[in-house]
Amino acid sequence: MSLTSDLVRGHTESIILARLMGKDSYGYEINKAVAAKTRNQYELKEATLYSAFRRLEAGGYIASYWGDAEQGARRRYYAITPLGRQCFAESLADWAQAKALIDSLLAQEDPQDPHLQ
Amino acid sequence: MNETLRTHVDRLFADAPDTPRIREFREELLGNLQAKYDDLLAAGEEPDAAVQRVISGIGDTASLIQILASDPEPDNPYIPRQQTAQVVSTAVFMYCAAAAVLTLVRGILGNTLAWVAFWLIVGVATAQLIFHFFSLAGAPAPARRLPPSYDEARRKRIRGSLSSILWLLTTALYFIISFTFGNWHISWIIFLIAPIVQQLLNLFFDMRG
Repeated sequence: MSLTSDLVRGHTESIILARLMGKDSYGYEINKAVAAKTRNQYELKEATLYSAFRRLEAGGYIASYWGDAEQGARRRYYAITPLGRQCFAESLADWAQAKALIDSLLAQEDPQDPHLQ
Repeated sequence: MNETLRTHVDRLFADAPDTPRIREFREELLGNLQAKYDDLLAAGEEPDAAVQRVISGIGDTASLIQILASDPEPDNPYIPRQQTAQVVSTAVFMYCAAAAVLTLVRGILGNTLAWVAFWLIVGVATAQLIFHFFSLAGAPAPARRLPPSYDEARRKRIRGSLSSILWLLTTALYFIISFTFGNWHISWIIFLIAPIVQQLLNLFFDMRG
């Protein structure tokens, strides 16, 4: 599970961008969605989440603004920028490629396969 | 607001400098932790256990706080730079086009009509600029409450807008004067006067601010 966490943490930025593709969101809502999507197997540490927000905002991939929360306190929302959308599409393609690569590297060789002889 | 949570967050920020950026992050973090705590309570968790769970989920914020403390303060994350670039470049193009129209049309339609066309184009370009910069100087559209650094950011933005307008007007004036009087050999002096005007404006704002 520790390896899995490390692997997932390496994709924190893409995970955040994926959440923001549909709508603007705030820190806790994004983390709630991450927990729900992984059936509570994975949750981002706040430190990881907000470090990623900072990097993404500094790079121009997301922008933030203050909006109202239900109870009247204000809440910081994040919105994806066109550059962020582009970056997300690239991450998806990168991931598909990496996944295929690792799958093929980890696959057990079939002794009948003529290509491997 | 849960007090244990607030105390814990206060401790995380104990050594952090008091900059707008740090204040905003503290508020953001505390708000989101509180929301998580409320959700855990609503799910039937005991208050003490809920606080512990929220706190243990924070992770190591020390390096993030350090980075935020040394980050430059953002002007305003909501300035749509591309849009500004587009508006300004369109305006510059229109000023040039106005000068071109004036030169070309004067021979065909006569002086009066040429000048009318010239001022119409210049007017549209200028109106577009003024509209753009004034709409930028307003509140960032989606935010209903304003962050503490709002006034600072707004002043900086207005000053930036004035500076852009000044330079565009200078360019426009340069063409107007040069085409009207044909004194191209000397009219470039206006570009030396403009920075002086800009500095005077800055001085004026500094003294008022």
